[in-house]
Amino acid sequence: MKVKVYKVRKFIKLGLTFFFISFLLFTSTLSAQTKKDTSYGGMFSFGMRNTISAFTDAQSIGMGAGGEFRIRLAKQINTEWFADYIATDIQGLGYRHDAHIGWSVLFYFSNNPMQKGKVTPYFLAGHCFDYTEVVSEWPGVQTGVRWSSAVQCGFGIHYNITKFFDISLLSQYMVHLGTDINSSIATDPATGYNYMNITRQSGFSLEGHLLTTLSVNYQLGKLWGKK
Amino acid sequence: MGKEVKKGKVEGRKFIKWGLAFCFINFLLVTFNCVAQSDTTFKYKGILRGTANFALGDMPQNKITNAYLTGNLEYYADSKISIRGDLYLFLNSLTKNSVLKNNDALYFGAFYHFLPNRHFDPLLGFQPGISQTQFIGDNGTLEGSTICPLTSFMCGFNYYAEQWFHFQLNIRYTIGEHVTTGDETNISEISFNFGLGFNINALKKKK
Repeated sequence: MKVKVYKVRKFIKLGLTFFFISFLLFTSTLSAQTKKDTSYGGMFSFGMRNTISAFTDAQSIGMGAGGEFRIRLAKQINTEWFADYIATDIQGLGYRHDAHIGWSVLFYFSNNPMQKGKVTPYFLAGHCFDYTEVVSEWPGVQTGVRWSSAVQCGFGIHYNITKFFDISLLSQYMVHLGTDINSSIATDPATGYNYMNITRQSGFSLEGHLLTTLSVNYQLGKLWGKK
Repeated sequence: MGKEVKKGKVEGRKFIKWGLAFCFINFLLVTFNCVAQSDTTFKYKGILRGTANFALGDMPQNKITNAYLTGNLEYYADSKISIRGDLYLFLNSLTKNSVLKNNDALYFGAFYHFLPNRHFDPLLGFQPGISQTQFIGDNGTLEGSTICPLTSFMCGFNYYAEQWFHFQLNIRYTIGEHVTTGDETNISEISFNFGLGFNINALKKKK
């Protein structure tokens, strides 16, 4: 038990350090570019996305749909605001619904990002609020419901088909900061049937999942600055 | 009971065969026309177009054929990219004793147009969406309807025959799963629709 608590604390420390370094990186880049790259600030784009969720309950894979918009702050800094709804079948014994609403900061490695016909790789980190519902088909097993907050980071690419339109592929790991709803497959001793058991673990948990997102985005205009 | 099922299958197949033959003839007519007029241009940017027609969908995993009333609204943001929303209203399953009772769907996404500013407009699109789906369970009772996330890829063409109207043919492949307390069901579907649509140029300046 002590070892587990120690590992969790170590993970949190490493995570916080990682986010702090990322934040410094973003801030320094932003301040360095604010003066000379004013023409990029305020670009607004809107898009739709599909997300595949992996490594959740009982190793099941879920699929989701949602929307997003982006507000660009500087040449190499963009922000993405998203909402997703994900449904996961858990081995035919139950299901899980996830709803996410959140935002991320995108940092472009390239000095000249989002050019027509070019691939733009980026690093992303952010935060979201989420709702999770886990339901077992087995009678008597209580449904698990949770509202929580989460942080996510990952890597992605944009491919600009035209100056204003891009297709993006993103892979990010999302860690939920809250109590864990743990679902496990058990066998009923009386009937011999497998069923899904749901337990809610008290205390802080770092349960998470890998999200892979495909999206299409169109730049609609500028919210501020010169057009 | 067995005879009824066989009769239903024969009727369903007959309907699909006639429908496909009708669409194929129309397709040939449209292709012939567009080849004849391929040298003329038709400005895409600013076009707002819409259509409503019937669609047929086949769910190969469940061996169910469905009929829909479908409509879409599309705006050409530039000559190669358009933004489009589609609505599918489930009319009924053409398959006898179908367990699918509802499958209304809403899609939104973007399309790429391969031949900009031509009368003949082949296109490829990606549209995420959601559906409201309802099935009959194993014990014969109607399950609760569920919202299912969908992904869909689409190909087809528009043919802008005149200033105000066009023909449209779409083939859509939808990937999705009905996830609920009953049996989880794969609702992936290939659907097809053909029809007449209307278009205006939203950017056209008044004289």
